[in-house]
Amino acid sequence: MDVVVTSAPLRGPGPGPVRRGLAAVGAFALGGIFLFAAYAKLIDPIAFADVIRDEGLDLLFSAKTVAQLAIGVEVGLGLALVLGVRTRSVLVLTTGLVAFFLFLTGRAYLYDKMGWADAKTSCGCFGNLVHRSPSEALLQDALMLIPTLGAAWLAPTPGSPAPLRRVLASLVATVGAVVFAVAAPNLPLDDLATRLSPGRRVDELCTAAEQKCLRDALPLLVEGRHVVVLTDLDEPAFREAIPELNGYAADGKGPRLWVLTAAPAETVTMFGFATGASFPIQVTDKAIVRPLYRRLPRSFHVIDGVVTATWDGLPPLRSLSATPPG
Amino acid sequence: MRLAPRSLARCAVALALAAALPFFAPSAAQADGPARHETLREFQPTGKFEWEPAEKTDKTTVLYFSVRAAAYVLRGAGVPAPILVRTATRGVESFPEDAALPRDDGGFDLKADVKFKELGKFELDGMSIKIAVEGLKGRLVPAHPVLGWHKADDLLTHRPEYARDAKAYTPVATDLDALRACKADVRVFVYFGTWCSTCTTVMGRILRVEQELAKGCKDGEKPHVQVDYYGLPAAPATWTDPEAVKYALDTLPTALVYVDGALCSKLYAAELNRPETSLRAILGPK
Repeated sequence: MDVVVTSAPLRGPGPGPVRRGLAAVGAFALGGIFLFAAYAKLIDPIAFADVIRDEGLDLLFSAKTVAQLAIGVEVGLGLALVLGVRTRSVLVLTTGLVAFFLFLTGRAYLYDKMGWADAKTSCGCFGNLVHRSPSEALLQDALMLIPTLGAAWLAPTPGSPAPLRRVLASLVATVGAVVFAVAAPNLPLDDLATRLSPGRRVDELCTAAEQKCLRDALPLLVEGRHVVVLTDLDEPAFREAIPELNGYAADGKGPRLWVLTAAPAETVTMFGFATGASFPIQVTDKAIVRPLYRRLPRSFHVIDGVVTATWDGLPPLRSLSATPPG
Repeated sequence: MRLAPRSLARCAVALALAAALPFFAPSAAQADGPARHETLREFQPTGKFEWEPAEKTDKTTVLYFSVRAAAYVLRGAGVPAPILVRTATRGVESFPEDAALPRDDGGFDLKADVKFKELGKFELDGMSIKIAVEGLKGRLVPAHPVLGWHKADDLLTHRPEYARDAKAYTPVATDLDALRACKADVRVFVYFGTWCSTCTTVMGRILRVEQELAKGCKDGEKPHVQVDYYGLPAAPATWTDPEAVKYALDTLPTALVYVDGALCSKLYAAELNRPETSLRAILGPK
């Protein structure tokens, strides 16, 4: 019997064009989702750090550091997938990340169902731009991530030779994302990173599933001119401005002043006694105000229910007092 | 009698001057007399806090607050002399009664040259201001919440802030007319909290609309839109109150609107910004 020796590989033929196509589309979609989610976190890493803290993920490093590193990893993996790098190592890392996201959203859903957590809080996976209830987050994540990940696994690309340029681009993007995340809190991105920006109507500013809205905390905003200061009562910049805010409120010139805080009503009472603040302080749910700022204090101007200006910090009271009263 | 054209002209000028006077001059009561203090002015009665003297007394004390001064004043037979409590400095001082110059709006300003007697400093003690100075011992405490069912008069008496807001609010006349024309039997039950800051912004408006709709009713006649108010306790007891549970309340303020005995609509905080407009939308006619 003749033995025929060929140079064909011992492995079977590679995935067919359909599998390769599906894998490419799945990886591209998954990478796109990662990049969008990373973008939302990148422009507001402080909010993401809050989520890290709330989830108890700041075990080894501070929440801020974990947030910056996680954003870098998400950008790197996202870009690699979009560029078609589907090596087993990339897919294993991606699977780990997807499993981790699903674990977090699943846990949040469970806590919500069991009544152990505030159902009105939103999953922070997409920063302040997208607000989702725990059930919405679990369903959407499962529907978006699992099929795309499964598709990406249909046709992994060989790890050797490594697609050096694309891997290098992903690594550069990772480092760049971390650097940007470090710098982002000081960049003027508030209007981009939050749901509060000129042109928005106050009745659009609601929590997940429209359960609570800003207009419910400040019903009078829908009519006339108002200036609203979002703040924590212990913010030094706000406390320093108390005499100026008192004077503005007493003069009654310019738009009507409101201070909005998520502090408990008792704290507000004591705050007035302790600091001499005499302007109106409205109390509301944190879920309503958190999507509206990156750092406190933040202020905005409203005319007939429409946001017309926002300010990082306190409003320009002197120039506002020269405008017609609310 | 027939008036000469010149007399008519004089009358017209006099009437025009009389009508224009309030626009050009402050009211006589505030324009005349001694100069008023630049910051220690615009004190108004407040219902947000109460004075609890260390020793029980029947003598009344009225508490005033000024946004401009960020200060409280205690006046009345319950204190030996008016007491000024400055929150910014925590200072407690007394001043002569005649240094309080009345205002047209029911409040008062202090004289520019008012002389104070320093009595000491207050202490923050839990949820209250503790005052223990010469001749005066007691606490300024947040007012006890108004609980249960009340009529408008109760609220206007106990919450001067509501009365001031009611006076300042101008309802939409056409909406009021439409509501007056509606002949259905309308009952509105407003659930609120005197501790709730959002409620405070709209309560005066609801009370004013109720007052306006009651105008024109003869003695003993009930207006066809009747409003009752239910005060809920502060958190955490708010949502476990039987009324809150019964009607599944989760937002304050909330108004339940019954038309001819049937629950017709629930109005929430934002819709009570213009109560007459929201009611008209429910009741028609458009």
